[in-house]
Amino acid sequence: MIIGIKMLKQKYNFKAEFFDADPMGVMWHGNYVKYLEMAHCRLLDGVNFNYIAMQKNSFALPVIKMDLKYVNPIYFNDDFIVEIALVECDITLKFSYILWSKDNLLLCKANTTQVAVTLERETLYAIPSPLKNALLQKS
Amino acid sequence: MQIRVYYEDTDCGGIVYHANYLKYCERARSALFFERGVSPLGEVGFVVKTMQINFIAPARLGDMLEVKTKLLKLQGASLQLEQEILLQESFTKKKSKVVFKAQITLACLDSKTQRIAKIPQDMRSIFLNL
Repeated sequence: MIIGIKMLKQKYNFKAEFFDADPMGVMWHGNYVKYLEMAHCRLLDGVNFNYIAMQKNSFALPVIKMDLKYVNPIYFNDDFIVEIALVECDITLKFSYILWSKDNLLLCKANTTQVAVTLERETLYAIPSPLKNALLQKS
Repeated sequence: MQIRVYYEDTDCGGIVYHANYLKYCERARSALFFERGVSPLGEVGFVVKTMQINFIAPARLGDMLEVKTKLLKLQGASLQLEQEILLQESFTKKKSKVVFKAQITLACLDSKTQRIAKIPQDMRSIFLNL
């Protein structure tokens, strides 16, 4: 956590698609991960530093850790919100996520940790400055 | 359970897309039931309550993976499993290493009422014999 800087936070709307629902009519737990990534990608688009920009800067950001707590099910066709917040942008990049229903029912909580690697998969041990600057300027 | 990495499992970074490891874990849990002639979705079913995941190393097209499942805790209506995915071989290098590890808490639900239910004895035996 970088002390003294208000961390970037955004909310994005999604709908539970047919292909993500399981035979019980709810979103299969593994598919939540895709919506976390979609929120993450929208946030990066918003700071003008998406995966394509990372590739142009010769690095990638693989996820190395993730935890999820499933609180209430998301049913097929439900509208829901993914609230994403930047938690750390230093050696690693950490985001927290809260999924809400339209009626403010808590659906899921999650956290991800990413590290920067070169395109040859060598660890960089710090988030590259162009991304760090883009994220912190919007915070 | 052995799983070969196919083209559709990989992403545009050329490695297995991280969400797909959760599919491999689900398949391995289902296989525990299928191999013993028990349906994983009968009068009761299991839902994932929590997951703590470590993505340790990438797997690539053609890799042969092995999913290992270990019981950590078995309670009346819930259980905790550890699932580990090992890379057994690769077209490029011969090696065996852990690429993924997760702790997963599952709750047993009555399929009709969707309420918490006791884990039936035949299913308990499956988990206890892991």
